[in-house]
Amino acid sequence: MDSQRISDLLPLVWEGFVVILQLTFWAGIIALSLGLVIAITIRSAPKPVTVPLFWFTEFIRNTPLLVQALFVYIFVSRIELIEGFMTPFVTGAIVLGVHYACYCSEAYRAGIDGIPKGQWEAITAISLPKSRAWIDILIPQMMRRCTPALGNYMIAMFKEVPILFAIGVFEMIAQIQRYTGLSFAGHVEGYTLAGLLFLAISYPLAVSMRKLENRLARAHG
Amino acid sequence: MTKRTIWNRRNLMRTTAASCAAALGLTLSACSATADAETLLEEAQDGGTLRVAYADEEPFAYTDSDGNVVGQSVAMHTYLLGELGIEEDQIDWVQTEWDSLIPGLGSNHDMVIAGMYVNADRCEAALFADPDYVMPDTLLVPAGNPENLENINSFIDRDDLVVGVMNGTTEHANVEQDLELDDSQYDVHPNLSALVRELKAGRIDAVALTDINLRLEAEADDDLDTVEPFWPTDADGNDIIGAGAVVFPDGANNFRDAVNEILHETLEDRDLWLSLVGEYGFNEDNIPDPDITAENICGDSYQ
Repeated sequence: MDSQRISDLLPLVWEGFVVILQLTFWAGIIALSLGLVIAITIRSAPKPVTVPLFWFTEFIRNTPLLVQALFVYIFVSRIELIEGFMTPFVTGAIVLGVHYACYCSEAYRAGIDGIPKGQWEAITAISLPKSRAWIDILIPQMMRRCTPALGNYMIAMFKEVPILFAIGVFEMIAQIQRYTGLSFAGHVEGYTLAGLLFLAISYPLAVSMRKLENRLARAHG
Repeated sequence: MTKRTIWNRRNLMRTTAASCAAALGLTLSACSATADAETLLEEAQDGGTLRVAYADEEPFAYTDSDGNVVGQSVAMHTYLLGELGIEEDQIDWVQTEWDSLIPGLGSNHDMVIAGMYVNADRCEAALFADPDYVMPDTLLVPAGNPENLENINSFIDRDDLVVGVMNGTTEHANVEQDLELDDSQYDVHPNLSALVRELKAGRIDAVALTDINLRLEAEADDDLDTVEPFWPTDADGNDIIGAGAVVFPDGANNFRDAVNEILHETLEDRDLWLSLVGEYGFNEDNIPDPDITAENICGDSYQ
């Protein structure tokens, strides 16, 4: 370990890390909200909608993120209307968000399936409108069941951002490779910093997810 | 009943400590290999094995379709090693990631033959022999060069165009630091195939890299062309000479100096030089001038 290398690397690594955080934030919003929409739609929409949607999620979940990112990125370059808007960052956030939305939808589904049958019967019995039933009765109950899985997906997603350098998202690992490629030094320092930064975010995130689970469990226990 | 390990905190810590100690031991024994660098030449001349790393990069050092390691740097240096009494069958070729060529010196391998450019930063990390070739840059452009690009400096005044560079290369440093192009004027990608993909998708207008790599790419593809080779310039307008050499671990100075001596004799004999490396696309323009030495390029960091 060389302190000169560390101080050279720190600003670069930090710059890349901020990109990872921003990308995780946007992809997380897409994953959590789109995942819920998919889960509820599959549960309640008519068959012509649910069957293609089901196969879409199966397809996304069973193909690699790297292939999806490359495919979408090359594909959008052929559509002039959106090309300027679809920068590597935007494409990366959408692909990562949709990829994890399909995983999250499964977590939500498990949460919905775990709601006791009596709750559904009660909703029907008092003829509660569908929207109110979801917002006030079903979603709060399912959230407590699916929070652990969703938390894991968010952490996994955060750690997968460096894959997106393949489409030109210039994140932390790319910054380190740039430095080591030019100077042929700083490998140990760079990757140690990267590991520590990931840990510095992932671990508190995991702990606070655990706290959130406990709170939800108490609130709806 | 068989005895089962109970995983309580104490024996977990004990196991962890033991494995850490083992790992540390491995690392240290790997490091101690560098101590042998001084006797490397002697041992190889006595018939010992020389572990040589290459990065599988055409046309410098790569594995051909028959599984042989060939290329300009390989042809050049198996000849030089042969002159030192080290036969080809003593060489143990180790294919290594480009990133690990220098960090692995002394532990994973004893020498690097990969046509690696000499620069001041790299000299600090290992012993460089003198350059055995020089290579200008070129631009890979769509067939017919629609934007009439001449060299990498053409992008300074064309803020509507984007040049693609490979992460961590001299060209990357050049556009970022010397030419101070705006972020929107260059794109960085991890490898040549990604750059070619971007070029064909029309998201970048040219790829800037070393001449021979891009020329090979353009020859294989009718949609692509290269421009006249050029030397990139630094912020003060001086040419940046791309010159490649072999690398030795710290302490192997006598080996490096012995290789240098025969190298200089070979560089003076142009016909010999061409007969060794001509088949890999190299010509007289790639022969380094006598003043292009590792010491001149690296300055203070030369060791």
